[in-house]
Amino acid sequence: MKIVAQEQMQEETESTSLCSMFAGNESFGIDTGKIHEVLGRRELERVPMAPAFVAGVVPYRGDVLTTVSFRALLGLPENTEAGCVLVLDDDGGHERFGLMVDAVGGVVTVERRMLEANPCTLDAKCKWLFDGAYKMESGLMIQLDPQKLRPSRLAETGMFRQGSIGESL
Amino acid sequence: MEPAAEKPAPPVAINAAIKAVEEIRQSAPEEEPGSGRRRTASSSGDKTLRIDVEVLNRMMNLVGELVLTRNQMLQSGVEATNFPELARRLDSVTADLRETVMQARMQPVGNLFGKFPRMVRDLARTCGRDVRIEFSGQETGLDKSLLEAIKDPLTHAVRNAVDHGIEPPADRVLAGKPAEGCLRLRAFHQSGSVVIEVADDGAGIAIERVLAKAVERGLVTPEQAKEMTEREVLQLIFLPGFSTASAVTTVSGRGVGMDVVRANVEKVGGSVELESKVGFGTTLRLRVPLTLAIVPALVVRSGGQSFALPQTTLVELVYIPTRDAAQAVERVGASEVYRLRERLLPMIWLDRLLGLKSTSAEHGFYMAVLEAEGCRYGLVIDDLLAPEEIVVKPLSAVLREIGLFSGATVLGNGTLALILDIAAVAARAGVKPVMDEQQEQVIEAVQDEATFLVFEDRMRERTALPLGVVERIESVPLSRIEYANGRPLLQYRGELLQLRDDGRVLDEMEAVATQDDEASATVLICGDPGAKSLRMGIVVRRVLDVSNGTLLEKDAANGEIDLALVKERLTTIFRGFGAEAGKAWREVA
Repeated sequence: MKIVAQEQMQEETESTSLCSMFAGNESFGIDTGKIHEVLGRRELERVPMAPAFVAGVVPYRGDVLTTVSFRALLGLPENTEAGCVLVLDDDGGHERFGLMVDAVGGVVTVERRMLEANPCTLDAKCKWLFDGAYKMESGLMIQLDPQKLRPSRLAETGMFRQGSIGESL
Repeated sequence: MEPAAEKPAPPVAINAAIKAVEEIRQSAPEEEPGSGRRRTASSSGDKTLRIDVEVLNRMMNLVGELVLTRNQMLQSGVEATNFPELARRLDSVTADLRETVMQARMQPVGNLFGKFPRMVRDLARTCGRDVRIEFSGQETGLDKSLLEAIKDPLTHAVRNAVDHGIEPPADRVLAGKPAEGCLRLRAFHQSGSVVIEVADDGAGIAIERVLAKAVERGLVTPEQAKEMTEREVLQLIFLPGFSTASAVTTVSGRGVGMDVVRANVEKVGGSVELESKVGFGTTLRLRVPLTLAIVPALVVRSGGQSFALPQTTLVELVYIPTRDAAQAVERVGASEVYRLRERLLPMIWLDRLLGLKSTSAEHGFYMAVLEAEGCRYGLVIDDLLAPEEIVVKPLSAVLREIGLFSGATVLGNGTLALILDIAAVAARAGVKPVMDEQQEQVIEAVQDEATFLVFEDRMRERTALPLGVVERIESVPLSRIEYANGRPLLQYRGELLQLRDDGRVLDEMEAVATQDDEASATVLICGDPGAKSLRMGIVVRRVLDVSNGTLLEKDAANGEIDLALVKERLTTIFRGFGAEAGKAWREVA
């Protein structure tokens, strides 16, 4: 329902640009306007006892950025090599955070009408994370909503808390 | 080689900084943008700050310099020959800029005190009290954000003192005190933090009433209440929903109280202490760090990660070699303890507590003896790295929720380290502040017996210092000891320490030391924890022992010298520390 509403609201802008990124075998996209900066591959400092979805912390412009591991959110095993870190901002600027993915592609311009809502068979976790998918020629690109990836929101949902200690052992 | 791809990296950050400062200039004096604190600042209208125009101009000059340096860097690139020079310039400009910004943020505490006389007068009238308010230390500087953070707690404390603390004039006269009550607000620096004291000469806190109330509210059971010490009872006041006011007034008794005061002060890394004597008054002490930004810390490693321990909580460090580990660690049931000077110290393994991979330490391990909020324990770590002045960065809400880390910091080598919250670690591991009270009682019971650090300064003469005044034993290379006017001085953590060298150890060492600069002197860093006197260093030949001793009575035989028997041997007690030393020091200055 929410997605439909968004679609109607932004109908006047026909196309939008997304930054593509990869985790596991799938490709994802986030609105470029919501990405503050792409930091590239970074070694993160792990935080013991943190929820499983927190990959660690990374210094960024005088702040300590809490970074969410997208692989952990998807339930994928941890990667051995360092992932790419994106800096995301929520609209209010209240919480700036990092997102770690396997790799960052580039900017892709997509037409809004190519967006289709989440399939109803999707499980609860993915329903939370995904925000519909763009039907690209090369395959599907799943849109992500940075709002929902905020560490504090993720902690509130309680869906991604499991295995917090198991991961770090 | 792709200089184009490498070059933009530093200027991005510089640009952001330049923009930030220019924003300050444009949007009139405002708080430092981008700092996490602005968001958490109280919602009141005090979001503006008066800055000396001169400071602001200096800031702008430095920003101009920053712009110039950036332009030069962009033009020359990483490969250029003058790059190191540019980097150095950038470094000095950054340091200056940081200092100026910090200076702009420092505000005298007096700004905060200013509104109290009127408030107290109004309050006193509504409550039917006669109150005089006295201030001292208004000029003490404190970071703007901290000033903001303690504003509400302090207001609350002052209200409390007038309404609960000071009795009505008639009661005061009956108790033999002047009808006019006195409220004292004092601010001063103490070992890296600012202390703000709210003291009244009122009725004090009646322990029985607090206990009765706590039992009534179901905060403690009557059985628990019987066993509680005075200090524990006073801690009850900080529990949510606690008020001993028998009637709800407009001023107090609504149950929103000291718990909020404590929570607010602790949020900025401070602490609250309460002292009370029935019939003589109550003193509430808010202790806040000088600035949120920079804290001396010891960086340690455990389980392959770095952690920072604030120096203020560090009492001492114990090295336990692998061969001694089996004997050193003893067990009481399931918990492990270490026998430190005949007292059992609970041990906490940091890697186990945090669920980190244990790394097998071949060289043994270290134990940091820490003390926070009356809890004392040994934290076992794998290795010690350097002591560092760290810049504290707040963590996001999700990570704060873990409750074990008070922040993070970027170390000199560019990696991040988490700052351990010493009190929270103690609480997580179940360490209770009971041990400390037992110790205090023991000390009170045997006044004449005290623990001394025994050392040798003059040849074959044993001298002792009460252990309480020795902060640290440092090994200082001779080259670091400097001389002014014939007196040896040591630069120690940004402070100039005067060195006492009664045994002429330095002269001897200087005579012996030829080319090799490796020789180092042992210096005891001493400070009187009670008095506000300057710290000083004492050069000693070697440190012998720590043990208990008995002070001998002063009589004709020993005259002016204080002697003590330590382990059945005659030992001189080092005096001339404190007032005297301070006087001598001022002469030099």
